[in-house]
Order: sequence, then structure tokens, then C-alpha cells
Amino acid sequence: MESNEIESLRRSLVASFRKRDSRESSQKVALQVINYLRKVVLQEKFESLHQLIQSLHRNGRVLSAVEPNELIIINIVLMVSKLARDEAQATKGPGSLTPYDSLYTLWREIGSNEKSFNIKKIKKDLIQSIKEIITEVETSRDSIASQASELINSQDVVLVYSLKNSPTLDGFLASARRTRKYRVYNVVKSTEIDDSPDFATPIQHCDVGNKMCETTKVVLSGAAVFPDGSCLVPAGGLTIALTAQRHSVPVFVLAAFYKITPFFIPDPSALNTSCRADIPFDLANKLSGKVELIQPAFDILPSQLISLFVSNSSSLIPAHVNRLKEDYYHPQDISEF
Amino acid sequence: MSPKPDAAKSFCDLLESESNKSTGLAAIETLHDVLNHCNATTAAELENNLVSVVRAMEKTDYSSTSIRSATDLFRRFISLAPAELLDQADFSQVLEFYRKRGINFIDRVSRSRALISKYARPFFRNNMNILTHSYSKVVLEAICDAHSAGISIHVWVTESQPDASGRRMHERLTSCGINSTLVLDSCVGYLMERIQMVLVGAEGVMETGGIINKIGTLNVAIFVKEYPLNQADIPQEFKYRTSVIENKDLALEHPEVDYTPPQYINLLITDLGILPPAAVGEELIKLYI
Repeated sequence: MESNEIESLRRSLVASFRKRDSRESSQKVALQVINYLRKVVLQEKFESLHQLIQSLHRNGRVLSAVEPNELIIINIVLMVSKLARDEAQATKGPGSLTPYDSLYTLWREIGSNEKSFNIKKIKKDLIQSIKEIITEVETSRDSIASQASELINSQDVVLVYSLKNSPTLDGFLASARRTRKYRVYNVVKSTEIDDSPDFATPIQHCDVGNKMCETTKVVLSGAAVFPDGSCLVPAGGLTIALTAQRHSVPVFVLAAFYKITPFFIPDPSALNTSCRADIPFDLANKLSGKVELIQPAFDILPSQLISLFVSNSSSLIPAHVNRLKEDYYHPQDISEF
Repeated sequence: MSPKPDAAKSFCDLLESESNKSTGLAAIETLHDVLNHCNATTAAELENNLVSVVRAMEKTDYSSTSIRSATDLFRRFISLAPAELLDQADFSQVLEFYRKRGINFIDRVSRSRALISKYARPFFRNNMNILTHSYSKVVLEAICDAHSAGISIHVWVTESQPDASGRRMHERLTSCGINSTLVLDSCVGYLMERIQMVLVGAEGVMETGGIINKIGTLNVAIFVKEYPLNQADIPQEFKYRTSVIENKDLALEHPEVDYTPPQYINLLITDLGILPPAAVGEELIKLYI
């Protein structure tokens, strides 16, 4: 039933996931997935809203089965299917404002609201709103960077981590540099070759405790944000955040909207990806099967260690993430997926 | 017609005949029963009827927090009628409308425990040690569901004096085939290092996101704070409250419940979804706009 074109598209997408040797920037992943879903919506034939959403979910499940650790895939799929529901709601006219089960709506009758929609119109509108979301993803880095001058003051000493892997963080600092004069400590791992840019002073991970006394702000890049306000940061971020708490230094986490994950991960270890160990081939060959190298990619940062999330639309405190989640996801999608 | 004098009695009978029924649901059903037999001709008369029944129910031995918040919600929902309906001279039509609303509400509330159990499922993992305090039907159902889904867990139940309700919990769990150990209330601190999750029920959830539960819950929660682990609470949706209950003379009477502030609570697993404690206030604001 599925057209061959989609099949080959999916193959090339999966291949691009597999080919890369290190994790690609999350923005790129998000854009790839949205574009794939856009083509699915364009090419496939649907008779009802239900079918459309089922198809989106089916495609999403396949992708997330390929890359089970990439939460962004699931986020994007659920976001698009929420858009589809929104379009259907819009054609139906004004109805209930929020789809979330709330105390206020407990007395309502639960009937099926699967009325016959004009699926062609929904499809057209959906493509339009997918385009809007693509623009939103593309501009998210700039929108986060534009908030830098509000958060970083002159004479600040900012401590950052994993600057190399986060273009968002880089852009944020660059934007602040335009109007402010401040110092940057870049935490690097001892095994890495120091490639800090000129504006940053490299410090070792073990020196964080020492340098935290001088630091006035910590900025980390988030990989995923959970509804309770906790988040995933590159491994090593937890020790930095704990040190910051000890010295009462505020911790900012940069995370675009597509990193908000609508469900809880009760067992973070199941999700945590491992980095590939950087050891020479000869040695790897010798050690194969004899040792276990544990090198997790992420740390879970509990919400009480975070002062502020910097998202593309605004900065928010951890307790408000739950509210923002409701803007982007539909509860039925979350429970069905 | 004055409210049936035996409303409180029928409420108790309802709870005794169906031991699985939650206090809140029973209170709502009793109110609905009153509504069904009511032939009031004005809204004020109906309101008076309902209030007197609520008063009567509060005097029974069952948790007054649950009763009050459940009945508050019920009264709030049945009274949300469209204005043109209220303007009608014939009050029986309004009553009919209220009854329909009431049925919807009861239907929704009776499914809440199953929903909570569904939401709580991902939090159970194999070989987990779970600590629970006192007897809670919703916690029992969540644990039993997880067990029948094939997850092997060990539950540690505090005895929860003065009424030893933990003993009942322990018996129920054992009869379901779940590994369970009954421990002393004073043993919680000693036990904490091996526990991965604390799961307690809640009689009421306050506007702050804190919970009211069987005395001793606060002790458990404070111990958990010392050992940072995953605490999840399972309250039920219709227990939100805005006001603080007035206390009796505590010098004479042993307190039955205590209040656990929100900073000790990681997550509230409700049938509205999994909420961080801060989201409770927002839910309530939505209700009273």
C-alpha cells in the first residue's frame, strides 16, 4: 500500500542516521524527521483523520525503533500529529479550548468526536503548518541566541560545557559577545585535544570546583527536557551543576522547543546512549570482549539544580515546562504512541 | 422534601458492602442518589438538601478530606448549567440536566483508579524495592497491575499504627502473590538505603501540591529526601482542595493524618496524568475561573 518513494526516503533517512560517527546536531535530526513526515503526508492517501494520524504514528514508530535513543524523533512525530488534530479542530469550529483532561472537564460526555472531516482541507492546512514548524526549528537557534543579552551581563564569568558539540551554545555566546564584555570558561575533558575558541579559557573538568568561586553563571546545552523540569545534559554536566549549586551559581539550560519530551522516562539508564570509546584500533582489538567500557553520553539533571530553561520562545523556570508541553502535544497521542 | 435522614447511613452501607469502593466515589454516589429522589423546586432548595447530606456524611468515621473535596467537585459540576436552562420556570428540567451531568461525572470518577494504575505502570521496574505506607486501594491496584504484567517487585509495607492499616495492605499484597514484608513504622530510616521508590496514596491534595495522608507519611517523605530516590505519589483526582481543614484539639486527640509539603514530593500520579506538584495549583485555577 505504501508507495515506493516513501520506502526509499525512509531508507535514506535511516542510512543517514547510521552513517554518522558522532551524534549530529539535534536541529538537523529534527529537520530531517519533519521533512520526512511532510512527504508522508503529501504522498499517502488518507480517508480520515484517524488514518492520517495512524500513518504518522506508524512511520514514527519505525523511525524510533531504528534509533530508540533519539527522543527528538518521537517529539517531532507527536508534534506533527498534534498539528493534524489542531487543523481538524479548526475546521470543526471553536470547541473545547484545551484537549487536556482537567478537573474542569470531568463531567463531559466522552463520545467519539471522529466526525467526517474534509480531509483534503486538513491535509492542505497541515502541510502549511508543517512548513511553519520547519521555520520555527530553523530559527530556534537565533531566537535562543537573541535572549543572550538579557541573561548575560557585562563582567560576567560564564562557565560552559561541551561547547564543541553545541552550535546553539556557540551562537548564544556569540550573540552576547556583540553587546557585552564577559569571560568564558570552557570545560574540556582531559582526553580531548584542546580546541576551545579564542574567546574562551579552557579549564579541565577537575578544575570546575576550584573555578566555580569566580563563576557567575553556568550555561549548559540540554539534550532533552522532561515535563517535571528535569533534563538530559552531556555527561559531566551533573557534576558541574552540583558544584554550581554549592556555590549558588545560577544554571541555565539551552533547549529548543523540540527537545521537550512529553512523557517521563522512569528509567534513565535504559535511555542513556553510550559514547564510543576513543581507543586505538590495536588496543580495541586486544581488549575486545575482556573489558567493559562504560561511557554514558548524558547525565540527568534534576529540576532543582536548574535555574532557567532558555527555549526559543522564552525563558522559563522548570516548573513551567509542564505548561509548555501542553502547547505542543496532544494527550491522546502521548498515550497511544 | 427534607433530605433523607438515612443518607449518612446509606453512605456507610455503600462503603461496607463494596470494600473496594473509594470514599470519594461513595460520597458522590450518595449525593447523586439524593439528587435522584429530590423534588426541589428551586436551586437554593436543592443546594440546601445537598449541603445537609454532606454535613451528615462528614460526621461518619470515613476520611472527611476525601468526602469534602469529592462532594465539592460534584456540586460544582452539576451546577455548571447553561444560563438559558436556569431561566426556565420548570425546575424539573434543570434537575434532569443535573442528573445527566451527575451520571457522567460518576462514570468518569469510577474509572480513575484504573487510569492511575495505567499511568503508574512505567515506573515499576524489575527487582525493585518499593516502600509504601498504610493501606491505599489505589496503590494496591497499581502494584497488583504491575505484578500481573509480569514485573517482579518486593513491597515493604509499614505497619502504620495506631490502626495497623499496613497489616491489611500486607495481607492483600500477599494474597495477590506479591513479595511483601511488613515492617515497623520506626524501621523506615533503616530500610531506606535499599528502597528504589516510595509510593503512597493521598487522602487529599492541597493547592500547594502537598498531600494529606495517613499519619507517618511525612516521616517517610523526609527520610526519602535524605536518600534522594524516586518518590512517586498516587493520589486521586477528585481530592484537590483549596482550603485547609480546621484542626481539632490536638493535645487531646491523636492526629490521624499529616501534611507532606510539596518539596518532598517528586511526582503526583493522578488520573489527569502525571503532574509535578506545582501543576496542582494551575489545575485548580482552571476550575474556578
